[in-house]
Amino acid sequence: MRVQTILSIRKMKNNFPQMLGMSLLILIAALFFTTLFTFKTIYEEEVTTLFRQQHYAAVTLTGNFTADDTKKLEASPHISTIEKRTVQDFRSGDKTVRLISLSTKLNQVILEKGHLPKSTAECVLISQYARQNKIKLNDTFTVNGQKLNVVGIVRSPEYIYYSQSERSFSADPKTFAVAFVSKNFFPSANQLLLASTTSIKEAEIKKLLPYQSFTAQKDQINYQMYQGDLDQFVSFAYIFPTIFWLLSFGIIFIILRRTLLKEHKQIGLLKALGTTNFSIIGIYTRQFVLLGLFSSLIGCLLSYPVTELLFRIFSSMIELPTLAYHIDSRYWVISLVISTLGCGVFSLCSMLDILKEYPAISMRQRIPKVKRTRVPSRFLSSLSFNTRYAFTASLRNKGRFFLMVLGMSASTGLLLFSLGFNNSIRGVADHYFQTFANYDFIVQLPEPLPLDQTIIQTSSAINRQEAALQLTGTVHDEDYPLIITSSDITILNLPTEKLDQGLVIPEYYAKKWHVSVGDQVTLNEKKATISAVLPLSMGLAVYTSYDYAHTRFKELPAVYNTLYVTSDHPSKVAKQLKEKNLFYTTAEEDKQTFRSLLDNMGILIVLLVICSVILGATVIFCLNLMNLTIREFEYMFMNIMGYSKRRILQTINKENLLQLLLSIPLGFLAGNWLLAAIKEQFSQNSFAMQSSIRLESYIFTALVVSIISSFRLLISNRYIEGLAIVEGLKVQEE
Amino acid sequence: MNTFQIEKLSKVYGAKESKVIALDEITLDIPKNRFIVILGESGSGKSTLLNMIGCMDKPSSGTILFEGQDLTGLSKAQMTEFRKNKIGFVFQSYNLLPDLSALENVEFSTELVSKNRQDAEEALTAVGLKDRITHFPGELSGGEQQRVSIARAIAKKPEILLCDEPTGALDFETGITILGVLKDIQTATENTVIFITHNKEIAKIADTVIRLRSGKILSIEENDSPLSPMEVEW
Repeated sequence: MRVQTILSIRKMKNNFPQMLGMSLLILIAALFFTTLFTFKTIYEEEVTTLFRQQHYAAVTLTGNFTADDTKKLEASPHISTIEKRTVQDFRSGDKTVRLISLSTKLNQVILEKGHLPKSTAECVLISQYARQNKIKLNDTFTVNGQKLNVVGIVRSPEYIYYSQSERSFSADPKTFAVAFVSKNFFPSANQLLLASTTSIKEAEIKKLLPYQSFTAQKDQINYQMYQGDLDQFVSFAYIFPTIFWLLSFGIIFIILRRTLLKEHKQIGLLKALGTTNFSIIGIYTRQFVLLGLFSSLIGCLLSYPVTELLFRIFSSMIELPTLAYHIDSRYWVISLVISTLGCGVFSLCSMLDILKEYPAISMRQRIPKVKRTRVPSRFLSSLSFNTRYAFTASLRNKGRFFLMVLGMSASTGLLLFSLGFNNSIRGVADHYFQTFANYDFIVQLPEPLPLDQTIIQTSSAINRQEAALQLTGTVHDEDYPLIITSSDITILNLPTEKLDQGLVIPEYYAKKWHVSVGDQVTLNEKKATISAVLPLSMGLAVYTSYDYAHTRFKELPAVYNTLYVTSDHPSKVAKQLKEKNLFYTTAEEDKQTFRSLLDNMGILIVLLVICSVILGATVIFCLNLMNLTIREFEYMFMNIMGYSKRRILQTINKENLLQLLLSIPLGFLAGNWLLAAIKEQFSQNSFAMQSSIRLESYIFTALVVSIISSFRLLISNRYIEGLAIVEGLKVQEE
Repeated sequence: MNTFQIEKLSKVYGAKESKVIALDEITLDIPKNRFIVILGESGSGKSTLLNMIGCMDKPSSGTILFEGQDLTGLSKAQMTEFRKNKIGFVFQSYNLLPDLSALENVEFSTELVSKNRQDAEEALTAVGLKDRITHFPGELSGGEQQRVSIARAIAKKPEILLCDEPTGALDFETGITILGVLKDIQTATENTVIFITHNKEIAKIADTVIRLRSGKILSIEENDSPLSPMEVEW
């Protein structure tokens, strides 16, 4: 082995503890990057394949359809496949059952067990529900009083995400069932599934036949959640690794700069002996380049079990059992290149100054640069020597001081972000039910009824019932829920005085459409004015009154298809609704969506918290160790002069406190910023994430960072206690 | 025949009020194959002169010709090549690489000029350290470290050996030994050795003595009967 290589390896040993810390940060960065991008790619490939193989419909039309309607559509050159089906929801005890007549050409199901229904007495159940409720083949499944024999278990491309509705986008598989029945189970069809080789225009279909709603694939909750998850993976895949990479590169820069400052005479000597700058760069940067390469390689290798773990976590949220890890070399290469190049470039940058010097200059004794301090001397002199020393020592090593603050801020920020993310999802439901929605039941009518016709009588069990018409509104070629209510609605906390003046929209829509109060938008091809903007995060819809809707859409009938009901006796109301064979959902079921979402997110949040703690602990450990070794001589000298080790430790404590005071508020800002930055990726047309971090998360974060920081004092105490004064001074002289 | 021809060489550090003239228009010829001592007090400019001759720094003005080649016009890379191929350095504070053993320290230097391990071992044997080659600098005495330093300088067989007060940090006995080693090497190889010191006694072993004061040449003296290192005393 060449002596230059031997020298490089031996130098590696000198910074071993810090290098170990850096390798951990780079490993986590590479692991995050590779895992999330690999996951995203595999997931995207699998879903795309599933959609293609199962012929996921491009458009779903809802309404009442006859055989003539199919014929009308067949005339369109843009439509390649048309299939009729019926989808109907029923209540069965505390459960909601969705019966779907099987489609054979589009939205095909995948049979996992058994066979497809051959008669109207048979059904196949969706795997999520069958698994949760331990239903086996040949069990009996009762719907609306009719007993069906379970002859198969299936998966459906429409239910990768187990979404029941816009509000209940992550339904509880214990209480929400999807069952597929034979084609002739229902006498009529209420959905038409369309496929096309080109995009299907809504305007064209509208000319051909009447329908209630036109839902393009991209507007389906299932698809939106899939697309949303892809965006979320990408945003996480950038944010976390970037922070870890930048901090590790920053620390490498500081470590090497410090090493070079300490070894400037050695570098001068290497130059004097005739070593080229290129070789010197090799001696000093090789260790960091290797560190980057091997750490990221381990990170890439670890991405296999971690991705598998993610698949397991996500299997409770998405039904895609075919997900399996395979190496995506692109991300391995990118990860290895970023880590290796980053380490190389940052270490090279730290060498630039010393490489420019002539050997005689490098070998000369360095005189510390004295800079006039900007801190008023009167302020400094008012402090005790101990505090003054802590203060000036901090300012003297600005690079390390600020990197420490940066590292602690990043750790605080990520920790707060992780907890805040959890709070925000929880907050969405809390905010919706505490400040906006006061209903206990939402009843959906099978057919719209005239406004003056009541379907359920207000009784002692029902406090209040309010009617609304739920439609789909199209703005900028995208579908949004449109809810038309009476202008004196109380169950939804809407600004009633504004409902008659125009559209009341959530902030998320206002931002998306770039509109504010007074502006106009084109809703279903008619101009409408925005009368109010609400800070809503769930139940997102365009709200307006019947009166205003009639001024815009003259042909709109005075009908309702939704009832909001409040009650002090929910069980009585449920009984009444069941007797009338009406389909309903409860507020409790809507809340359950968020509970299950939070349960699924739990492990991810724990992982993020662990990574944040590792980041903080590593940065503090590495930089503190560097500070201690650099100031070792100072401490020994102070000790010789009679300054006790306890008081030396006090100076470290004060510096630590100063850094904590700076990094905790900075970290809080960073955490809020991160949460705001990913808000967009976690928002859909029916759900907008609002960053709301709870006070206890702030307190917990500050506490955790303070505890990590206090370990620094323990390490410092151990280090200072172990200082051998006489030997140490000798070393310094040499 | 001269190795170096120096003309109006100046080196100025700093500017304005903090300006220090380390070398003030020195003109000097350094003969070949001789043991030359540059003598002067601290701050006289002797180390600066050595740095200029050894291409360790650039002069502010003036020229240095090495066998007819102008060293002041060399690029940094050419200066590195020159140091590597022509010059061997011995420093007052030994400047060994603490992470390498004695043999590796010497090998580091020989590797640069594509010489082999045998050359390194021979050099260490020549300075009497055959049995200490695996020891690290921290395990060697000051005298032994300086001998490793000399071995490192001579192992690559340079034309010029530049010694910057190599006995300055050593006790008398060890200093004499080091002087003996250097003198023997110069006699054996007939190379040019430029030795700088503030010790007038050491100057007695030189063939030529150049005296410096405040960055100027005070005198250049030829010594017809140089003493052996064993004869000097301080």
